[in-house]
Amino acid sequence: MHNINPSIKAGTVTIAAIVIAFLFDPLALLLYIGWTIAITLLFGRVPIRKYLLYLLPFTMFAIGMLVSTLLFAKTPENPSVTQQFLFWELPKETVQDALALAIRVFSYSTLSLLFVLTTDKVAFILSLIQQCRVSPKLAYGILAGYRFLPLLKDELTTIRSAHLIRGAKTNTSRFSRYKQYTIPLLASAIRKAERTAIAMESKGFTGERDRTFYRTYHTNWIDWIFAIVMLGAIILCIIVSKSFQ
Amino acid sequence: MKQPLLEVDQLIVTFEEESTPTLEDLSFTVQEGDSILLLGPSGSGKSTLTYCLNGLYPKELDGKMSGSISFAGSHIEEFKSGKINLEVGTVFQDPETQFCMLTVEDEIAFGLENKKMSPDLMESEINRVLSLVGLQHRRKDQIHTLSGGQKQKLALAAVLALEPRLLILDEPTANLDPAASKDLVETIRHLKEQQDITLLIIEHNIDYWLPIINRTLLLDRDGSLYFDGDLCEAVNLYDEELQQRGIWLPEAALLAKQAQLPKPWPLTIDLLPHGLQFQTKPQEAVQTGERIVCVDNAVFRIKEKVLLDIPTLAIRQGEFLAITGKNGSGKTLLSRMITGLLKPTAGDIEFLDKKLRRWNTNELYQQIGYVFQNPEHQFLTDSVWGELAFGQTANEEEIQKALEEIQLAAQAEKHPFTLSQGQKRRLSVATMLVQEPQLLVLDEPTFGQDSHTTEVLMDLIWKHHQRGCTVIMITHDMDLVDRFASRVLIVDQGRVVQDDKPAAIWKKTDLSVYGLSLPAKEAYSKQKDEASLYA
Repeated sequence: MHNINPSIKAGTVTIAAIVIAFLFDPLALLLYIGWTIAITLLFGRVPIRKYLLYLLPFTMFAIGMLVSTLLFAKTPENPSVTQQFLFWELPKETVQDALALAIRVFSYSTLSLLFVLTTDKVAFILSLIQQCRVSPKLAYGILAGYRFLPLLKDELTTIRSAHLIRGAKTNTSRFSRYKQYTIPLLASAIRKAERTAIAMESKGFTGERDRTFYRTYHTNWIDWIFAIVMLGAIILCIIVSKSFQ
Repeated sequence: MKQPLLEVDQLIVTFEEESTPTLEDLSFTVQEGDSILLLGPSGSGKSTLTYCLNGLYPKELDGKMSGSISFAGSHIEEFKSGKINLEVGTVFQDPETQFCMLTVEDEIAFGLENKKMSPDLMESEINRVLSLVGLQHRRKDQIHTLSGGQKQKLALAAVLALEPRLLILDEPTANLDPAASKDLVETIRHLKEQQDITLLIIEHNIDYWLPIINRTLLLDRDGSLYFDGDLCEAVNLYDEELQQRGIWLPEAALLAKQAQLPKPWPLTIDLLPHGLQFQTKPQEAVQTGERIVCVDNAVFRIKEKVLLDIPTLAIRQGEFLAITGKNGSGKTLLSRMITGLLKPTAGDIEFLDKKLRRWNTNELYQQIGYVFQNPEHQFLTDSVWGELAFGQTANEEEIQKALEEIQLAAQAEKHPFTLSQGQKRRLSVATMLVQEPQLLVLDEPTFGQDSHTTEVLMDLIWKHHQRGCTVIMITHDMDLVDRFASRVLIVDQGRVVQDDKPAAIWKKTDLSVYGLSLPAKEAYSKQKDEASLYA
């Protein structure tokens, strides 16, 4: 899984997500979720505990979606056709809509996790340059910016203490406090960005596509098999689901 | 005469918003194999010159540039975009902002890719440059796990990978502690022995570079060149001018000056004659009063890692306490814990006999001043005057007096962010002092500052100390410790390992273990003692 070309992986996941958006059959979706989880755990070398931990917030979100759709559903056209759902007797239409929505949300989560947990960020960006012809200027800029995130967090903590010492009002509204922190934070971020840009240029970076790559990413038949299998599985899930109905 | 590697001829650079040029009619040449030290006060256009030499200007310049720069015989503008950067490599001062990749090897590969080297050759090239700077064991590591000194070495390695013919070092030790600085200079000296690389070193700290340089350029405040020649001659001819411009003279020259030794002064301590007498400040017995801070079994941990472990520590009113030690030893954490900015995981801290957590925050910080490393973090208003007036009961007269003390009266209306580095630092200290705190904590107040700002700051701090303010100062500068401190704490791996008067510390401790060095005077007398022992 980790060795599959990141660009193809990203493309496959995106196409799968689009197809799922038009799929309303809860059973087919459930089957596909199972398939995605199985692929992630079997081929992604993701520890099952870690996976469940990441999946937890998404599960909560999906359950939340389910409940709120059930509660605030539009008036069904055939209220007489009801269905037993846990302890309640609810209109069948409502239940189906709610289930389809919640399951779809859940299935997006599993697809995203499949990508995020098995892909190296640097590899993804480098592969975007090499396979998707993304401009190196943009891509290396993103990489450089990524390094700043933890620095910004540390800086915010320091600024907060510094302002506390100065006796700056800390009981003012959240908004005005953030305004107070923004200027020093921005000033230093801009300066840092400028320095990094200068350092990159002085290493001969021009932003042109004409460069060599230490880590090269190719596409080979395994990547295409992955794409075909992942997308083919959707059709398979639909067929299997139909045969049960 | 052989052709110079670099030839700068009548270079003038004027920024759009400035009325006077930043670089004024600059002409000099660099021969292959030279190691040149370029000294100039802050604001003399040293960084501007760097950008001109590596081809960033005039491309990125908002302003005018005239004159010519030739590299190896051809005009610098004739080089294709990105090509001159491969000939002229630069290491900058800030170790945090020179990288765009996440791991050590990727960062070096980044330069090689720009150079369009074939990927098959990169492997061995990465190993080669990493072993030149002694980082081969960190090859696969994430850059953020390196120390400041290691990051500067990586920046050096990444530039060396481009195989430049001229290497510009733009204040590479400005953000490093003395031990890391020496280590970096040693690495560069070693490099210089192995391959005959041409160096242009832009610095304000002369001492580190003495073993390397063969020529010195002196740049004035207005960006003009007034000396080009031997460093020893420069120091002896222009000692007054250098000091006025805030440049630190070499330690040995400073000692010679203090001892009123006739010129020429030597540059290294071992060349000073025997038996020099220095004026020492009369060490008045320190008047200490009640306990102001008391630490009781305080521990600070993140997860299982103990970052700070202080079983007991008492600080008395009227002390001038210096905290010193390696980078990352816990000095800043300790100072933040004492002042309540960092809550200990376990244990108690009392300020004026009342537990810190029982203090009302506003009242506490009327009594405690804390000056952070980066002065910008502390500014709250949009004028220098506003900063001093903020939250104070001080009247206009007092604020005016404070402004004059820090020599910023002319800048009263300016935005604090537009001040120079030294001015910002002076302002941030002054904002803490107008409230006349009982306890003042300073986190490396003189770090990276020129000698002028250092003097102004120390005068100011000393004046408030005489008024009765207790001072805690984190510093690496042992000369300052020797001159001002009444007590020294050495912190190592989160523990206080030494706690004594400065004079006693100089005698009994091997400071090099903690990445520190003796103050110049002590180093001198120690060396002379040893010399007479063997004589």
